[in-house]
Amino acid sequence: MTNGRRIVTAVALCLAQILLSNYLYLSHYLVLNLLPLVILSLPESRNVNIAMLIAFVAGFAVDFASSGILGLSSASLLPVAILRFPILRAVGGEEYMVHRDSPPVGHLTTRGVFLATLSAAAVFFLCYVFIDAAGTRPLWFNLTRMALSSVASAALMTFLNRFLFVEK
Amino acid sequence: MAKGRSTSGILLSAAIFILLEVAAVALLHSSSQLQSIWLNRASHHLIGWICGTSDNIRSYFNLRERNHQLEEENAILSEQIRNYREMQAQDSARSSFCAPAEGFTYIFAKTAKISIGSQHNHVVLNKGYADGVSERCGIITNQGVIGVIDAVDRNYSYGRTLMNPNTSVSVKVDDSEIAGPMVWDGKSTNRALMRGVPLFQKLHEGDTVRTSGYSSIFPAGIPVGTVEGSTTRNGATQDVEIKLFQDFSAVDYVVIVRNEDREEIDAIEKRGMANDKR
Repeated sequence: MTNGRRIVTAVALCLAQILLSNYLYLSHYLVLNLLPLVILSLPESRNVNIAMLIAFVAGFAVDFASSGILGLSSASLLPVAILRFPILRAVGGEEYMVHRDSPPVGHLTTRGVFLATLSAAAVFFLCYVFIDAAGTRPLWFNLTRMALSSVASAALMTFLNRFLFVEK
Repeated sequence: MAKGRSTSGILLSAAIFILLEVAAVALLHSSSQLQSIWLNRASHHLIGWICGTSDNIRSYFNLRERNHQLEEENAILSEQIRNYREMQAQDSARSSFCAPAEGFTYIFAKTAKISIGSQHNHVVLNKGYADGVSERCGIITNQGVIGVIDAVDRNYSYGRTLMNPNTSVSVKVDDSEIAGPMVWDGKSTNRALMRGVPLFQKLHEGDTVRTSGYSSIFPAGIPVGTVEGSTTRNGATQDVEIKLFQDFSAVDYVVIVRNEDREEIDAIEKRGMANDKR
């Protein structure tokens, strides 16, 4: 996978997220977000600092272009960027590092991808849901919203990963 | 790659993370009122917690100093309470002698030492000639006669108490003309004897005994005790037993009575005695 194609794919994921944020409303309890996949798809050669910068910019772009709260996605995606390597290492072992310049999620099994995206989505929504609620909603509501959104988003990201990053 | 990263690399990443998070939170703060209120509230909670914790830590390390301060404060307060009690006791003693007898001066004093266990008991008072005390001044309380001053120093004076065979006080019984010298019975701390009362004089138990004023030492009318009974002595006179109002085991504050005319009285007494001898 070339650099150019990776950038285009990342931009496409951001655009898809903007569309989801603006036009798809499922429930109070369910929010879909594809941005964790943008971070997980960064090659191993891109270090954590670059991942954090990309996370901030991607989050800012999505919040700016959608009707979201400016800074919400950035603040939620930064922990995902800093936990990217621990998540991938926990799910795929040291094996994914063999392919330094290709998206690590492209070399994981479907189950591995789901676990990785689920972990990343859980971290993302942990921040997202609680910051969005700003102390106005009960804990059970926040936890339900976080769990449902994480599972649904992880499932969607696993599905998209199959077409975007898995090399045949 | 995270593995094998240097400390400076980790610190740089942490700094970038914090910087970007702060930027994101700043964006949140400025773009949404709800999030702004929440962040402000969280900030106030955090500041409160930091201040509270730091205050607790500071208080913990200041405990030794604080304990020392409290000990000093406690000592000062104890001293103030002691002074207050002393003043109260002095006021109480003064209030009992608000109207000194004519020709007498009252000097309030505190007992520095008093003996009650020997046959020749004495008292040491905290007033001396610097305060106007002189020899042969009387010592009284609001409950009766204590004794007579025998020796005087600058700030202290020494007196014989009534519990001393050498002390004799002239007393008389209320509503009668019976008078005589009162001396200690030699046994108890609150009993005395009035000697030399003629047998025909009838006394009633409970009659009050007061100083007679026939000497230049004590003013007349100071209540001393009550008649308790009498015993015949040598078939000629009777000894009247007196229960004293003052218990000598509980003497604290006293009044020294000084007769202002005593020198004049003594002088004329001497002249009269000299004339008698001629």
